[in-house]
Amino acid sequence: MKRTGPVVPTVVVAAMCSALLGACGDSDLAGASGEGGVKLCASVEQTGGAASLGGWFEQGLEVATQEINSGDGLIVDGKKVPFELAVADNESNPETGLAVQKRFEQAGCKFIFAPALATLTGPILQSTRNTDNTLMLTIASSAVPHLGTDKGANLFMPKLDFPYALPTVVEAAADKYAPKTAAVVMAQDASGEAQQTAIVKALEDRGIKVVYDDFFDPTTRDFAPYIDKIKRTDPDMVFAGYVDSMVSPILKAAVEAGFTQPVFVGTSGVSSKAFADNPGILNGVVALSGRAVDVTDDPDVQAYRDAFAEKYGSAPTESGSSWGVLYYESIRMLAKAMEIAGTTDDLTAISKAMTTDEAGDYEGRTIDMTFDAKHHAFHSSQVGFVNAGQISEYVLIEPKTRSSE
Amino acid sequence: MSLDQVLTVIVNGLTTGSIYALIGLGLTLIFGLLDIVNFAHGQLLLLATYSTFALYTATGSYWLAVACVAVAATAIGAGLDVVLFARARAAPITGLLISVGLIAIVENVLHEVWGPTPRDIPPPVSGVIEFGFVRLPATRLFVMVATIVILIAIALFLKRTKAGVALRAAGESPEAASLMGVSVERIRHLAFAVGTLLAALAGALIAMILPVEPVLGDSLLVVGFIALIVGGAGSPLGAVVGGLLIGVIESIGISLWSGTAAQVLTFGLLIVVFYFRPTGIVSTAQGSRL
Repeated sequence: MKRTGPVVPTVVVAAMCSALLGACGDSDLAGASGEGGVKLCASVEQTGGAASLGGWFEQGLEVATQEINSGDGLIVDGKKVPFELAVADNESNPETGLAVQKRFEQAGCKFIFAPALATLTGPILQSTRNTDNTLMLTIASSAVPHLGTDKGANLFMPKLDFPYALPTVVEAAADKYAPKTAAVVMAQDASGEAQQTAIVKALEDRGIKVVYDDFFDPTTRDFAPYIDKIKRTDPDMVFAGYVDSMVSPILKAAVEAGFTQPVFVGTSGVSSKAFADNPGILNGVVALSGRAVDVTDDPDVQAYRDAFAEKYGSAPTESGSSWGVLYYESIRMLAKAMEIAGTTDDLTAISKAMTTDEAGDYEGRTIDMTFDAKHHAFHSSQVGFVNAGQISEYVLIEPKTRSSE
Repeated sequence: MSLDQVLTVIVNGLTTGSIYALIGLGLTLIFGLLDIVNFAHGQLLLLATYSTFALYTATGSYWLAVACVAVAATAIGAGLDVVLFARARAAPITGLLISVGLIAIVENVLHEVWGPTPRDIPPPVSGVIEFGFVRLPATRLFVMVATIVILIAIALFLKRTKAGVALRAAGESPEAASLMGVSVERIRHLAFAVGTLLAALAGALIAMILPVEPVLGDSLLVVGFIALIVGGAGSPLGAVVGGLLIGVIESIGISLWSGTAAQVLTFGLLIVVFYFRPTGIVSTAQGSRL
């Protein structure tokens, strides 16, 4: 007689254990009751290819929520209203991202932080019939076409868009290193393609010849063939990948191949850790969307550092933590906007208040973020110059405004 | 392209292909003898990669780390078969489900313990080796040489040792092998152990050239399966040939055209082999599984 009985329960138990383990990283949506509080729901890349990025965003969300709830907090109609943060893992996967969004909407979340990856947020925005019932914030570039439209009435992008952010990075890097030629190789997905377009245009506008321009599959981790190809074109500067999980193996392959002379530029999803792990790279640039919060002598970031230490026991040490600042300030601005509008329910009034100068009028601002009428964010950012794995200096870059505004 | 560029492309391809060959060979040993498509093979490789990193961090010695991981992997492989897969012999689909369950468990545990941040092991060999006007990365040459040594060792094991001969006999005909006094069940445990060992060695070598991160196992597993199919399911030599061929084709595709072209070429190869030679490039003797 075939004895398969004991195996089936084994499989079931194994799968249940794994599901339990997987759920351990997620805050329980049901636990955020929303009773008397404002529920903030965040879809975060806790696992998958963009998990390092997701971790930094989650820091900003948690730090802001704790700071607001433990301090004077959000005061509406004379009453203190707590924020309740619920975080779900989208696994850096579009299908999971859609499923998480559905769960948020079914749970009645009005304030949603959508995924950071354009490949996840794009389908979400395309499938959402309207945004009247939610106020959504996302740094994903796929939000750009929806901003300023009827669909984007309550959609905010708390990050400088690529056509504004990346040229400033190119200019800062070019000012420092004066390259004549450059290579660009990006992941073949929505984020990579958007960045490639912005970088190539910025290089050409600056008169820098693009000698290599290619894409790689986002799951690629062995970049030796790409490095070999780039090496043949002898560029002065290389833009490759946009998150640590891509850039780290690229730098490793470059060091292996003895290709360490060019300046390697990491766009804003890349932290200095990728360079610290590959000190053989002589010169590098990391672009920070927010502010460098791992420095101790910048008074502008002290409030964030203090709040971070309050939450996690010590101040931030990774350059990637600068990402958290964007969501930290977003939540603080959201709270201020609710106070200005005098409501936590009227999304139209809150959205309007978010675009006023008063929305940024509170103590301890880390970055000077403002939202224009179409809900694009403008703020200063920084680039860090890396030598042999260590950041040697940070340069502040002032925001540019849209010429059409 | 100049000669040194051609050689670099080929070395890159053979390096990656070596890893694919090890993965494909491990899958073949398990599939050939146990009829189990072990989808958890990639996660076992990942577990070995993280273990290599952890032991290296603790001891400072890459070689000691690899030796410990190899021993542990062999034991884990045997243990998995004894405890789990042996109970599903009569129902291969159950074995497949078990391997899927293992994927979820290993992935989640690794993520909980290590988090998403890529980890790095400084390779024990580094620099560039020059052969006349040709310059090749030392790390990649080492990976190739190490793989050749491992494959020779496996070939000698299969052909020259009692256990290896018994393993091949059981793969060809379990009933006949049993009649000849071979403990087929023990041989099956051995096959799983050796398959897991090969995954672990592949993981330890990968740790030298790629950052260690949770998503590493998935894409390598897919290519390992392609190598197994292209080479000939159940043929150890076929898995090696398939792995090397895929690695070289990928490298050529990227160097001459693009990453997308490389993927098209790889899957195109799979389709061509399926069409013209469904049993794989290297056919085994009729009825033989190994």
